[in-house]
Amino acid sequence: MKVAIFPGCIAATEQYACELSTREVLRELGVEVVEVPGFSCCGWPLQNVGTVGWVYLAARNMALAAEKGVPLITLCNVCNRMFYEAKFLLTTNSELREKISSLLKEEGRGPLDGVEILHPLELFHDRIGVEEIKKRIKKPLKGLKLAAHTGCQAIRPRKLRSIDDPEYPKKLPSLIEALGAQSPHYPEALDCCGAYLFYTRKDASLTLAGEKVEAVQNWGFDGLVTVCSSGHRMLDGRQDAAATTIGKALNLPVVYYTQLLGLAMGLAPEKLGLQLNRSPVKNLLEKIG
Amino acid sequence: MVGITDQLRATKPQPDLVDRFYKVVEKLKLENPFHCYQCFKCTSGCTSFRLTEIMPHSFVNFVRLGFVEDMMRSELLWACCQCLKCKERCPQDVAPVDVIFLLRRMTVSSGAEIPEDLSKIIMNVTETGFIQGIQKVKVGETSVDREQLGLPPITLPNLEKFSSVLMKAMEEQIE
Ligand code: SF4
Ligand code: SF4
Repeated sequence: MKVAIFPGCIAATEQYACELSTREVLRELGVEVVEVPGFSCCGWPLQNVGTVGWVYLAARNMALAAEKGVPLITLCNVCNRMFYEAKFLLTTNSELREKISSLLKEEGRGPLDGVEILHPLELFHDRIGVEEIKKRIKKPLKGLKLAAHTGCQAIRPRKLRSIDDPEYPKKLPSLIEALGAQSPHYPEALDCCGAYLFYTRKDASLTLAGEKVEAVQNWGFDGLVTVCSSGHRMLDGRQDAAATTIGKALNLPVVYYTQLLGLAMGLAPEKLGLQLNRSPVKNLLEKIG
Repeated sequence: MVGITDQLRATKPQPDLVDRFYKVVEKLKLENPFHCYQCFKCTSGCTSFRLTEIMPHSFVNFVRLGFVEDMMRSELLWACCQCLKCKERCPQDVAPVDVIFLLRRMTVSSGAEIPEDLSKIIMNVTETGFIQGIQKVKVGETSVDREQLGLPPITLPNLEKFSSVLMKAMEEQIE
């Protein structure tokens, strides 16, 4: 199997562990990564100011991947939704489609359609499969209880595409359990990380992140598992700031699913970028041994 | 958010903006807000409500009553965290979040200011292709970037061309 990786702004410019661990585990699983130079932002920030600008950005990125003819894996839930939303608008609105096509030609790009967008959960759960992943485990994560954070933008709205159940997502928990750990449901599983409030209401954004981490901590989980670079930046990268905002002590290890999978497959923590996590992942690594 | 009686006393509906609003609703194939029956389901599950007092059902209601400009000027317009729960759960498919984002875009095209941090990342995207430059991140006492971690470089083939086409796209307002 061959895929291309769409990092999105946050993984491309800051959350390096996300791309690093994804590349490592894909290599280990025999999935070839095709390089696509020239990707930009998916378009999300521009959705606040106009329609043509953001759809153009989403379309130009999809066109770049379409030239290579391989599925595109998104490392951020928001990028994933933007691509699907752009596809929807381009198929339902011929005027917009014409505008975007001619803009793409100006930048020397095309074709518009035909790229398959894959969320990491779809790649690991539906394509590679839980059984196949179980076979690759060298170091089962026995005795660990880990909370799954699937994230809002991956599962809603169901009408756009259905990666998982929008009210009771089960794929990430089952992928965590495939590694030998437990991942029971918890009441705050659907709570938002606050990522996109950060640019308009910083305090509320950090409060959301802090309350999410605090809830997971209070239920006695050993850590929190993410599949989105935007969400991870809030829950791991900004955990200290969130703790200050809500006035509570937070010390919950937060890891990407690809980091956890890599560890269970016996890969070294540095190869998976665990030295880059801001939350106390040491506590978790010690338990894994 | 203001109550409905205060609103009715304070201002008049704005038919021009209402017209523009419904034209875009049609263009983007959004659900018509008139299908909302004010069941409150969106607000009762809204992530931001508890922290910021945003009430998605009331955005929809005021727009239906014609008070588009008042909603455009409300600071609560920027309090939605786009969790999409209201879009998923609305029994009438109205999606208040779509109404809110459409109002944001109408606000921008009317020349009003937007929150500073948001405006900054938008500027960065138009000038560099990304919301921020490639960061150096801390590991212990040192800091590293993509290259030092062995990640392939991030490149935009022709930044000048990219920016000029993007600016042109952004000028093509449909809101
Ligand atoms: S959930 Fe839908 S129908 Fe109910 S109040 Fe909100 S927008 Fe209206
Ligand atoms: S998308 Fe916005 S308005 Fe809708 S429920 Fe979430 S925070 Fe509330």
